Amino acid sequence: MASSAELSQFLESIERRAFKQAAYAVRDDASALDIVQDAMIKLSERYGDKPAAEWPMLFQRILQNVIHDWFRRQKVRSTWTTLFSDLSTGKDNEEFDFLESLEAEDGSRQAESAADEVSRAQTLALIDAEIQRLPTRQREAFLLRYWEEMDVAETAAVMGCSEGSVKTHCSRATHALAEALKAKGIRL
Amino acid sequence: MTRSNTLQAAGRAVAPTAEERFAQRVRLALDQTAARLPATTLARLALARKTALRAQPVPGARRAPASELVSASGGSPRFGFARAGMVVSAVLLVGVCLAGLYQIEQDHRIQELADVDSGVLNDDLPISAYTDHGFNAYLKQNP
Repeated sequence: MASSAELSQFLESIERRAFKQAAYAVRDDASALDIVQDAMIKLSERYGDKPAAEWPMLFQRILQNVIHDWFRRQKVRSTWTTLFSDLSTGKDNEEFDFLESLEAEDGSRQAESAADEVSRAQTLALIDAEIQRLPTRQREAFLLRYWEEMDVAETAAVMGCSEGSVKTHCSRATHALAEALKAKGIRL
Repeated sequence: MTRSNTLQAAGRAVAPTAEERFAQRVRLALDQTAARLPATTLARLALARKTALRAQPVPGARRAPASELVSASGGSPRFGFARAGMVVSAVLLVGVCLAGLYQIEQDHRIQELADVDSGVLNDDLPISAYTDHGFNAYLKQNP
């Protein structure tokens, strides 16, 4: 049985990416935090005694399910509060706090010029925005395949679709991203 | 083999495609974005992690009930069994009250019908008089 320390280490290793995945999907940081915590608790409660090697796949499945549940709840809620449902969505697209990003810097970047840092921050913010703009399934496939580094079969299992669909989603996402970034003059 | 080396390992057998090379560069940018998360978000993630660890099944130890687990964003507590029990009890209570009200209403109606019946039976007029159209017309003209 996996120890608490192992689980803690695993959760720490995936929490930032999980948060970003959830935030890309729901476009609200507070909801994304709740989603990540729910996913963590479910993994811990139900699969905390499983071998640590199984956790990455299990966590991704749980995370995707919790995100989908969130959308289902939002749909139900919006039927009751039609007038107010859309007021709080889509407000974070252009938000980028440069001062906050400075807090996360490590020592190696301090030698860079301010112009370089601003340019880097802007590039990252644009990539972030373009990822968020991708269609949901394409974004899920791209992030699972290339950020979580799952193979095609694992990605298909998490997404509940065929391997062919995963390849199609990934290809479309990559081309859409490349075109969008090229249009904005960003070269990676 | 670590997961971070998957693409490189695959690359030894087959050269990475242009798509994979582009995706690799996007991945590096995403890693940098994740490394720049605000301190408040990181603190909440750490809290979420600790909360989740308390829920891990440990042999011989008491598991933290779901009702004790708090929201990562500092909002309302999670919906646990205790809360579910309270909701079920409230629904049952409302159901019992509605059934009681229906029963009382039915008793009132039965009582009213019984009063009408006994009034008709105790009257001097025969019951057939009430079905007579002529008698009804007489009553309307001479209230």
